[in-house]
Amino acid sequence: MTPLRTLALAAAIAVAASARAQTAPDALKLDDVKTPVSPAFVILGVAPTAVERPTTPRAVGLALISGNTSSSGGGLPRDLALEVAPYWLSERPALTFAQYDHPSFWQSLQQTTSISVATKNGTEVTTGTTTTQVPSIGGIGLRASWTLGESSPLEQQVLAGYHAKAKTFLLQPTRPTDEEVSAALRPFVLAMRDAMKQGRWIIEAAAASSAVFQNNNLNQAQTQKNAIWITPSYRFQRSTFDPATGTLTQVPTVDFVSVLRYSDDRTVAEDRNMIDAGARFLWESDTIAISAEHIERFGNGPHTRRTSILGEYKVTDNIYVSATFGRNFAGENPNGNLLALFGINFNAGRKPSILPPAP
Amino acid sequence: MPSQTINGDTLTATYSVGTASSILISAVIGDGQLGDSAVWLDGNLLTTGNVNHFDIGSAGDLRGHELKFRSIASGLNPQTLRTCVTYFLAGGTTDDDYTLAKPVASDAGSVVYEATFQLV
Repeated sequence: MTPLRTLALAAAIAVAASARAQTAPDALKLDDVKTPVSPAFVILGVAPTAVERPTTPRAVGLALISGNTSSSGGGLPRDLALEVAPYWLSERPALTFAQYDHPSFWQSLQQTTSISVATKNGTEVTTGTTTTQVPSIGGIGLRASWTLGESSPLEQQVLAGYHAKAKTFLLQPTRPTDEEVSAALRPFVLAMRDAMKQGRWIIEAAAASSAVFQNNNLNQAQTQKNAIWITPSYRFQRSTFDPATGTLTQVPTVDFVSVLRYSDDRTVAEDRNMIDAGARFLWESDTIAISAEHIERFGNGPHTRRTSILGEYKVTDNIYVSATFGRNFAGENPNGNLLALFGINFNAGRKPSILPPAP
Repeated sequence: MPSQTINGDTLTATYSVGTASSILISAVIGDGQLGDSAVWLDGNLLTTGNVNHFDIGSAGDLRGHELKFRSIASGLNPQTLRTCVTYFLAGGTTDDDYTLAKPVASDAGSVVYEATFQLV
């Protein structure tokens, strides 16, 4: 086992252990346990989708993905991504909910910017009697997003319900405990999180770069790919709110996501610059997500396209698996244009593990 | 004077109202979290909800009385477990602010804060 894979396994175990230690009073949805696909993974070509929906970055997230091109590995994921949102690593006492929910452009950049790094571990490939060493690849990415539009009527209903419920505890003659207030308000808080995403556009911009490391040597690094892309997305408002229970009707969400991406691929001698334009429709319930995507690729090379179907399933509150099947861009894989990826993701829950000092 | 940060959910302090014609108070729930506050003067409710530059009266009317805040901060923000509330008192001898901070015990949980000020 290479040092990199040992590190990946150790990190996965640590994250899983951390996740077990956290209290999880409510069943988590698939969307809650997923570590968002980071730009660094996208640039390495190991992400299960080419049109990723904008997501809220956690303070720290970790993902492991295993691709079908791996010739060995004994089932251990070969690819590792780590994403950090620096803004949330320190206290923000002056940031009100109103500023968080309707941020200015600059504020939105600050609170959504995340930095990701990823590795695609090198391996040995045997063809007949010849064994060749495939070098390791590293990627670094950056992304940020901006939420547009006013609060939806649904969000306003949930907010009014929260305020009404909170007021009963504020005016209680004796001081209520954190536990009883948490139990009463948690449904409203979770409903609010969902409602904030519905009926609004989110524009995410990302950039990433990858480098190949011959002989696993940092001094022999060579830039491989650079890319920049923008991802507008919209989640249709489909839920209704029950103020008596503080919950939203549990209907599967439907998202429309589009992407426009420019790439500079230095791994080929010609046709290095390309533009991808495409869209994805995503249907997602609490445990299952199914999506279809289509991307057209233009540039100074042959016009090609990718069409695929992606399925994701939440195994536990901390683990989900994903599978992608379809037709890949021509020339993306020397073994053909079949696209088949299987991934398993470990996550530390919906919250970061980094906390302020205990009072 | 002071700008203080306290890791905890309860505060007792004094505030010198001086000779102000009006004392303004605010309670700011931070970290992007959702929350509300209520304010009492000697047990009489003054206001609830978003307390922002609320005028509680002149120094002469307030000296010797007790001002009490109760706030609830709920963990709406999925990026952090932290919650905090900052109580501002302005117009007196000095403008003071106190930040109380405490993480929620579990995801989407809530914290109840209380701060009591003796107005002198």
